[in-house]
Amino acid sequence: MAKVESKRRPTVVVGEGIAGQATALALCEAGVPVLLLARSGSEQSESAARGDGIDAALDRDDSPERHTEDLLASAAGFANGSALAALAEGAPALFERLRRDGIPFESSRSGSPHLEKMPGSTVARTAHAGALTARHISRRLAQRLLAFEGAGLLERHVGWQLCDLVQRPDLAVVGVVAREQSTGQVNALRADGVCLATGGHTGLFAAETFAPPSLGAATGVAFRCGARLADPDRVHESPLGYHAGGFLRALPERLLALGGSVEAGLLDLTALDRAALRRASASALSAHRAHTGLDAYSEPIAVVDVPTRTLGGLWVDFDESGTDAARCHRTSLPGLYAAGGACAAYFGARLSPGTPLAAALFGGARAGRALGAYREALESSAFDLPTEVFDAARERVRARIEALLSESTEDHPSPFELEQALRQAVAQAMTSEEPNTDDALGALADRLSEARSGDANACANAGIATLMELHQVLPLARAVLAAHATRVSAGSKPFLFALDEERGPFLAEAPA
Amino acid sequence: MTRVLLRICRQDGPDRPETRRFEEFEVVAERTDTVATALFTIQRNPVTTRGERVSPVAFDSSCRSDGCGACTLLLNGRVRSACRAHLLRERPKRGPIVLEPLSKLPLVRDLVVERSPLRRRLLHARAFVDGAPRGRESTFDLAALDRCTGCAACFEACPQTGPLSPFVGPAALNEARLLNQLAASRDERQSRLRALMSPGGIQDCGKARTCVEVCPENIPLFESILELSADTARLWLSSLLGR
Repeated sequence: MAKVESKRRPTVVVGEGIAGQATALALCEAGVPVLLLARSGSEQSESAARGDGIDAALDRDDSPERHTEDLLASAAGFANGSALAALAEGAPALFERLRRDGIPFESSRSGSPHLEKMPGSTVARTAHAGALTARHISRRLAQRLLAFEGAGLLERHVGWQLCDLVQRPDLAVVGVVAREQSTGQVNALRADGVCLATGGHTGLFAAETFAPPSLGAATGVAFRCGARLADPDRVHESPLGYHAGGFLRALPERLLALGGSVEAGLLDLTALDRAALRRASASALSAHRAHTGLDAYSEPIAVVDVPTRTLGGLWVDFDESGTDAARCHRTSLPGLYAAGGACAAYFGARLSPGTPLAAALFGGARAGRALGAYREALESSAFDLPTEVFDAARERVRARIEALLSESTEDHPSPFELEQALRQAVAQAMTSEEPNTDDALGALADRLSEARSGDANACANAGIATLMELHQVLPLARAVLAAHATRVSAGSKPFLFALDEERGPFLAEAPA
Repeated sequence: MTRVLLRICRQDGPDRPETRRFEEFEVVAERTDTVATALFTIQRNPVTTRGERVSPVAFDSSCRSDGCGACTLLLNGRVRSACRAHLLRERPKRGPIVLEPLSKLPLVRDLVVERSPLRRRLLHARAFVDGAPRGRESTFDLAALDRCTGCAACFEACPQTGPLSPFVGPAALNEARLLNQLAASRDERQSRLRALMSPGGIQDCGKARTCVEVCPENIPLFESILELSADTARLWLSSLLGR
């Protein structure tokens, strides 16, 4: 159980990917106590595993204005224009801080950063630290957070799965309910502000055999609690996916910028400079070789399209004027913020591969500042609310989980089969000409209500974790298909969705 | 497609040693299938070779792409990442592939262990960063040191680490060396070195070098340990001489 003194009034950050780390760090650096909850540690995050670099206007011929223009052009009307401008403005300083923190960025002979021109940029703008840029950054953030943990400002709980948000009658978020996976214990935690840095919902689009990237369960939780979604159907696809060992993996898109070309389903790297290739993606290519036995340096390799990032997600606000710090990254629910892949502020119609890392760091820092400002301005604290509110929230979750726990049996549908069925249903509906939401997911919802964990032991129970995720994700999946259907008929422009318990997702107005 | 037999060590919870047992499962393996693939397959259909339907085997896995360190376990007695071990290559001449959890971290269930002891050791070695950013010019040469995912392979393989030993282990030592390389001030470097001169620090290394053999990221762990040995010796000497 979290041992928290009520006068500390901590904030809660959910997710230890790069955006979550940046949010927690900004809070700690401002002296605000943080409770960091995550299903798995930063080393296991999606963001730390990617091979992309980071964009910043560092080149002599570049400028934040030009970077903003490119971002807006790529966004094509989606994403938040002022967030993009602020990102472009803040990226050079962000890069400088990373460099001074010892991130091993590639540099040219003169010592200036080596930058590459990626799709979506009109000038060389993407910096890399070999193939592991994100990992180096994640590690450094973790090392900074460890200091705050040692100093007692950060309390970290890894292996906790978000189950629900606790809300006041006016829907303001005052805490979370989370389950410790190792013991099965369900905890309700008060918080004077919550930030979801829980990643996107790429997993919904990945029709692969086994465990996909995040399904977006936390986004689903927020949606069900009343948060608006923006364009949840938009997803970025990389052409560099390949199958191995039952999974679908992706090679870094940097290979295309370096000169690799894809034709007739084959990626050809053979004409490229080997040293440059190795520096850029040695680990990814050697993993490819270990799995397939093929040598990408000397022969073209088979590749397929693979979804790598969702471009939509939780709608968040941004503060153009710079006067209302608590606005940045606030969702449509008071007290609830979102950063990184979970939020929809920075990713437009197309994506430069170096934008997400910059957005996770920049957005996380802004969300952290906003969360601190929100907490500062609160007239009544979550810690003043009666315990009954939190006990009831915890008990609801506990009872729900209790009802789902059962032995492995052939009678009930397996949660893992259902997960795959969900992804297939979404994939099918997204590619069909006449998307029929009710049909596709209605049958699945029925099977889901019959499903049980397939494992009665509450300890480290993947069946329960998956089952809970599926229940949380179903409204989000419905919204994805509804958005897709709307887009098919109404064309390519931004949409917001809200959730009605009875009629499901519906098109909504932007919050005031 | 080949049939592969796996013999997996199971236990229902941390305080339930009486439930420790081995169960055997058979999977059909393609060429590119790994131990992680097999564990996912078994999760979906947890029926033993005796035809008994059991609870799914609990295991840790995250990126499934050889980079996050989540799936480290003992394979035929040796520490490995499940996602990098190909089934068809790992089959012993006789008998099944044997899977067991890491032996030096507290067991949670089946193949899942608890990693907080590693974090405590990182704190002890002062493998954290506080204060202003450094300012060192180029750090590309440090990239090889800056890759640890906390997979715990070195901790498992090292003969000196264990639940009853305070030894921080090879990974924590390497992090300390990296951060000293990046350190902005002599005070910071020295306080880290002093932490490593306390119980559980550098003197607990027995120079077996098994850490280097098992590191999936090829981090020059022993080189880091040698450098720290030299640095701590220098510091000890200069404090002896009153400098």
